[in-house]
Amino acid sequence: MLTTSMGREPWTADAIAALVQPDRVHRSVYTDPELFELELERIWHQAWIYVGHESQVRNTGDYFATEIARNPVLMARHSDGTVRVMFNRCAHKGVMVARARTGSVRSFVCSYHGWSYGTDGALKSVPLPDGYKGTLVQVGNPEFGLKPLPRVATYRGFVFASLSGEGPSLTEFLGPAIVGFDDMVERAPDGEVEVYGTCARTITHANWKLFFENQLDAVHAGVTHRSLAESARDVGRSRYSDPAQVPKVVQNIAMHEPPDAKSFWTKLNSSNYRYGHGFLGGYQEHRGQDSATLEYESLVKRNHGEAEGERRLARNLHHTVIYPCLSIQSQFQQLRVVKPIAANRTLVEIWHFRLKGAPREFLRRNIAMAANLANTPATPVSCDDYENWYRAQTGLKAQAQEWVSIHRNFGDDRVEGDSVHSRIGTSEAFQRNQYAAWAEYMKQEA
Amino acid sequence: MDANGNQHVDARDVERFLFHEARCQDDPARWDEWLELFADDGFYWIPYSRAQQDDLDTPSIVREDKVLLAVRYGRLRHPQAWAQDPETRACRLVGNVMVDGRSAETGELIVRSTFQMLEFRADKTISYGGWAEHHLVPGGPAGWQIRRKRVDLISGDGAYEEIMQALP
Repeated sequence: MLTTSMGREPWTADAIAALVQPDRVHRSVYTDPELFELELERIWHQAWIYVGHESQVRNTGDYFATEIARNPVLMARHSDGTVRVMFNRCAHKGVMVARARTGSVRSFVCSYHGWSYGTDGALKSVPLPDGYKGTLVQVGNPEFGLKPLPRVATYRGFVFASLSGEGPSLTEFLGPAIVGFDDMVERAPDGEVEVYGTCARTITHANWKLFFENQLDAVHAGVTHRSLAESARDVGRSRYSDPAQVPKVVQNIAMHEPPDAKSFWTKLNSSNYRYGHGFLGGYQEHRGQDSATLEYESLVKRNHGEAEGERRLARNLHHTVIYPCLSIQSQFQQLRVVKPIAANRTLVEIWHFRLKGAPREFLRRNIAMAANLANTPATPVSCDDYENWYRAQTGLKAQAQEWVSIHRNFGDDRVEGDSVHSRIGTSEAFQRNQYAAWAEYMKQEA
Repeated sequence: MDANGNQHVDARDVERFLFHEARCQDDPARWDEWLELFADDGFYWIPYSRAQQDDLDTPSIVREDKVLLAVRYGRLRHPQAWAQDPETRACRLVGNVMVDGRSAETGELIVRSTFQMLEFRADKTISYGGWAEHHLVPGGPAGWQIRRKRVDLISGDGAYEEIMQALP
């Protein structure tokens, strides 16, 4: 049991259970540093957490260094072809054996005293081995390797790991939200995706959960992104006499209109599942009639059949949230990875994926419409989201009101077994589901 | 005039153009003037990595033509651009300007420079640095027009403390 540094009572099970109610969340859930530490133990150390994609470690010895809930880990391609995930920590003094975020090695050699490890993490050699005679430090003793993560699993090339040896399988954990990965991969004419080089990396000065509250929020766009949408409409009107000639990327930005009961947003229902996952129907008309899109669509149908191809192309998801670590924008092949650093600090890394077998012009179109627009460190879209999350994080310090509202369309959720569906796209049903999952995780004693 | 029919270029003249550009970027009242420094088919590009060869075959931090730049700057000036309340102020220092010749394909003048930019907002100052590569053609009120501006940040693939709102 953690004790608080503030002289308060420690967080008892009852005290934590009182923080999330069906229609409101206590502000300390976002701001309290001790609760943040408990979240790491009870959520982030239990759930399946995204590590990376297999295409990041294509060849033997390739590695990718990342973090799972602040734990430094390595994903590496071993000589037997398998992808291994292990802690990035020398068994000798605890030194990280890899510092660069990517690289290729024959073995991991510690920069301090030269202990070396295979790409499977096994200890290969130590300097001055005679000094270890009669001790537990021996090549072959797994206790002195780079320790593997307790569980590692891969779904269609997406590698996950869990710091817990127990819990649901990866596919059981993902549940129906697995469609986010299916949608991304099945859009590839060749049925596979691979990462483009590096990712966009931005710090949000806010709690990690504010990011997830935002992903399926169908009301904020018309308010938060109003400036960009109105600018896009102005540019469209002033530069093009024929509205059909306005570039698609500008048309998509211009779609965000102020909250309106008759808007398309109300029709995009969210579907929400166990462990806090969920998705919202898509609104961006991604198909288009341009020659690049038509060529791409004909390839999907040629490779997978007319009916199956059409099914793959017609699917339209906005974002799919894999709680607590991912948001997938599958129709544009963007994967937002959330890394908690502190109660008020979160790293967001956005990976961009290439659809294998897609025509170059179509890939360039997707890069222009998504990767370069809403998913970069200079995005004119999300900068106003980041601003709002910061303002929320700071506003929640106010002692005037203790609660955050998740009331919109409360009482109207359609519950089917352990899934929750909104009846209107602008419902906060998905937030209620996220916090129900949060409460479920947090009541477990670690 | 050289063998390809290109006028001799005065390096000081090109340097003055880059200083003029930085001054337009620094002053919100002159942002339209900055946009008009671009040729109609010009574009602005910040790749993640210096190794990136093509501007659209892989994702970039910024890759905007004149239309998208106009959308970006329309937002910056909009009264409900929340991340501009309070506003960003930025200044740019441009140096090491060298005329590095002409593109064999297009004949555009290639100019390389080094820059530092400070971006201040809400009590926090962030510094950016890197290299710019301008592809220029004669024309426009400033004497040159930008067909392409490539900016390589030294922090290209790093973690950004804030979303960049000022462009180098």
